[in-house]
Amino acid sequence: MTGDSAPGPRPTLLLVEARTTLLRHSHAVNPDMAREILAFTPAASVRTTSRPLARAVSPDTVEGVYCRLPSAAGRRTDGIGTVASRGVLIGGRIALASSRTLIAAGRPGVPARRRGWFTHLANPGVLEQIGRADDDDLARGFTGPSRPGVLDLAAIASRLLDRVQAATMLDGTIPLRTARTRFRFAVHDVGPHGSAPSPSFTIDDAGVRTLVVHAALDAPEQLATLCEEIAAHDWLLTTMQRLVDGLDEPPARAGRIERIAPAVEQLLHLWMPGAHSEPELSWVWSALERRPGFSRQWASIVARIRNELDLSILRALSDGAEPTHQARLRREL
Amino acid sequence: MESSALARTSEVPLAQVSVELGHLYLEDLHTVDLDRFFARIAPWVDEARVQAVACLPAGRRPRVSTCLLLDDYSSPTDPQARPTPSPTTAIPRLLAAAERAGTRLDYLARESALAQGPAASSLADLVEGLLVADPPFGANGSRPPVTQTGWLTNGQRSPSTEARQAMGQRARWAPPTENGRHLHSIFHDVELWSSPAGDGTRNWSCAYLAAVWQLVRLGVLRRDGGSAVAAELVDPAELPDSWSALPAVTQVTRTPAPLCAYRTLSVLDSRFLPVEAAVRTILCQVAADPVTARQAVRRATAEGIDVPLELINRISYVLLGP
Repeated sequence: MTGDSAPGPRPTLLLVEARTTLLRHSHAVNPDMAREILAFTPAASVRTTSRPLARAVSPDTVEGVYCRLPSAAGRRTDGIGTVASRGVLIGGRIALASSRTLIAAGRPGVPARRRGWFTHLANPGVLEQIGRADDDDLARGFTGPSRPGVLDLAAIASRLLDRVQAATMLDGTIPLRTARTRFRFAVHDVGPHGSAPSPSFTIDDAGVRTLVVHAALDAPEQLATLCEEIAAHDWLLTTMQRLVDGLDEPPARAGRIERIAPAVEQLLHLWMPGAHSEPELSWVWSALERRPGFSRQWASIVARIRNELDLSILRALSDGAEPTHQARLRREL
Repeated sequence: MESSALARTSEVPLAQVSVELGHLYLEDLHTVDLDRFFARIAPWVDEARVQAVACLPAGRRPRVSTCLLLDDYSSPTDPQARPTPSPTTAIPRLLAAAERAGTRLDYLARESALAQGPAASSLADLVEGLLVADPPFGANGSRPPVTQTGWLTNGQRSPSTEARQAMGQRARWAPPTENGRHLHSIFHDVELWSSPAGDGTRNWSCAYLAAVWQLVRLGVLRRDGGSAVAAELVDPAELPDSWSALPAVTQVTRTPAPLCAYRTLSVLDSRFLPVEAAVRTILCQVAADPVTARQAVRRATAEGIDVPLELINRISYVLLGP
């Protein structure tokens, strides 16, 4: 039962899954309300930042898992330990939950096996690997199609996002239709001075975004923040792209401005790549700006909305109407 | 960086060992011979023994505080029983008896105070939020962890035979198993709380509150990142008449070592063995804030003392027969 102290595990791979959606509320929530929504435990406080953009982060919740790990090659590899999750509110408007775990292939000099549970709880957010799959195999398994019975970070993150959305102080009114996006992030350890190959960003058939990065794993929280920020921006892109793509769907002319308005008023100002990531990790953003070109896509969406508003203003003027609403929205851009 | 953006986990003062000089029910204050009670405990907490518990090198005096947990929560309610003595009479008697035995009592804790507090944030509630059950194989996160509300085990329960009989299958008993067992199982199933009134009010079990008390003594509980419990000095001349008017933890000596410590040592009557076995089952499934657990390790290392990271490994016992 006890007497099972061992040197700490040394992780070589970080897996993070983020789920992102619009907070189930008619308008942006203020920092006090954000704190209330994310107060999952009385033990620790919700952390908040107001500049350059409001961000609130819940304390970690910890869940125990003991299951197969996702080996792309189908190798039998188990993992035992915990997954750490947290809820995040960005701009009082975007709701996000992320679940993360560090994979450690045993402890120095100690063969991997199931240990007393308390040894795993002493290092929350770490899974000890029992079996021989290597990190590449596990990262490919994690970012590939999900298989039953295998570690399911998505379900854990999803439940936490449900919990955020179920907060009683939310009014349940959603000003625009959006979808939950899924973002998977795998980070290979390169040690403090290792050289890092370029990040690889992909979107699979099921719409799951994956990003594989090589970085030092000594600050997994900062990497989780980076993942959450990329996930939130990817969600903004996805949501806005769908909105502008849908403008030409019937009824093409009717209600275009009404459909655009909530997004312009509530989402456009949330675009701020890298605002909360550590400067040491800005190279990941730079890489994403080159490929797939996050900000280029965003600029083209904003240009499309601007054109739409300009056209609408011209139409209104030629009809002899006063386009005050459109003009106000135009100033938001 | 804004200050509200930083995770704040405050440090608490730490002794090297927190020694628990027994565990008494309020009624025991009538019936127990306190001189005999402390005389049996005192030799087990002398300097040499506590030094060994603290893993201190020979010749270094340990920094020790002593405490006693008074159970004013789960006491049986016997209408025939004499009214419990008031703190004004009982506490001076306790302190004097401890002193006659050659030891000293620094802190007195009330068990019921561990279960009281603002809505859903008593120390008992706080600890419930830290429980992370030992998962069976197959727990991959796809479903919420399976929990039997109010119970915690160190393994897997026997499958329910009633359910299979109801489905028309022949029910065959299967044994419960201990997680991580070595050849054979010792299976514990611990009741954390019951709700006899059926209205959601909880009666926390003695074992659960004893586990909370261990966590208090290890200094790992935080509320909003700040210390979750602080002892209050009460002048023995100004003791209140009722137990509930006492603070959760009363400091009864002037300048004791801190209440919380790197390690705990409890000297208990062996009738508490099953309770403490349950306490250990619970503590093995508590995910304390890793920052607090590491604070103690770091500070002990700075003092040249070895302290394990795992909380369960910081706890020692002496169990005495009657």
